[in-house]
Amino acid sequence: MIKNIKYIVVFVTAVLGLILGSYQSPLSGQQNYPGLREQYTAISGELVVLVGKYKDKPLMSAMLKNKINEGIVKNIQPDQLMKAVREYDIRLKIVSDLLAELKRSSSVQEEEEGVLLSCLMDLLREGIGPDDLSSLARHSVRTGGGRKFCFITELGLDIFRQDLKRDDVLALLTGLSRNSMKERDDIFYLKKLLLLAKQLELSPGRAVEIIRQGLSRNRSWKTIESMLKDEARFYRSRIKNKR
Amino acid sequence: MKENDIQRVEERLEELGRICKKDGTSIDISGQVLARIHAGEREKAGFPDLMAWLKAHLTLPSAVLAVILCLAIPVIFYSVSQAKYKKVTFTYSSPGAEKVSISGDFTEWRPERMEYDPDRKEWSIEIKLEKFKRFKYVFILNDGKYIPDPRAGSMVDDGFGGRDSVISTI
Repeated sequence: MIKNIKYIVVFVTAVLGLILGSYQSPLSGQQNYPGLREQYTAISGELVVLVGKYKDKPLMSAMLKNKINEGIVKNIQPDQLMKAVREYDIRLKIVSDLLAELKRSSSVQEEEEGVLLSCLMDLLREGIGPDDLSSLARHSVRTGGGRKFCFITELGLDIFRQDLKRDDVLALLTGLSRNSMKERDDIFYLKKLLLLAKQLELSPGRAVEIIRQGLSRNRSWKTIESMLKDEARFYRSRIKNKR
Repeated sequence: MKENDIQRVEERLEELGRICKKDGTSIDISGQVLARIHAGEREKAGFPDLMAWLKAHLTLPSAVLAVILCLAIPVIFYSVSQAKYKKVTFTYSSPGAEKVSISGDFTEWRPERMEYDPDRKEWSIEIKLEKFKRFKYVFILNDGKYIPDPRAGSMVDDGFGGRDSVISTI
């Protein structure tokens, strides 16, 4: 027994090492798609068919499954769930074509595809048409990769909630997509400028126009801030003169 | 090869040897062939030879090295798999709630219960998220009310008449 102790030590260590290596490994924690509750039995067939359409596209299939799971967890009525999932499927088809086009025209990294799909889906849902979306994504990916498109999407989702015209927001996002901006900090500054414009009582349309001008001339955030302040001063003096 | 098969081959070869001797050739064909057959048998068995080799060569330093390697390889694999993930702590302030869970793309929308910290007066949970991804999620209050994270960077319509929070790990 003592003679063989070194073999036993090696064997036990190897087994322990393998167990430790696999313990809590995220890959081992994969779970299956949960079954549908009774109330969803009537729509389960159609759901399976919809998910089955994406069997060769794992990313999209996962997104659709997640949407179904979300509806089930939120206890959405079956007919409402089905309606939402059908709409999601239509958007997924549009976005799938946009991504394919994007992959042909720009260098899209494989690991970026999930993020791009998710961003395209969200902006499409916000009402940006496929053509504008395609141009926005193409320019963003060219100038800063999928990362940049994600930042632009975040900004878009945020400023769509403000009192800005859709065209103004789109123009601002398009300006950003062509600009050299690459970091999340830029989004933070841009949001700060929009807030400043509100405090200065500049009309949102005019503020967006000034920011766009600054961006197209590659001005720094500080310079754009001064441009906004100048515009506010000019606006106030004009009103004063009118009185 | 079975023992009696070897015996038969041996007899044939000895016969061949006798014929060769008559012809004047003195090569020990049977010896050579039998040696090869036995070598083949040993190769097939494999394990006893490996054990013998280990017994002959496994010294204390090589045993230590083997132990280190056995420990290091899983650690390296684990570290590489973990590098793909980022730990994110989600917090929600709702001292009045009896139970708060989080549900999102990262849990395949299965609710995960959050822990209440009485000192900070907030509910929290740490979740490992894959890097370079975007995830939608909501908090679930007392098993029934779904609310987006007020601290989230962005929010989107969920398509069911509500809102989801968005977190990106870029």
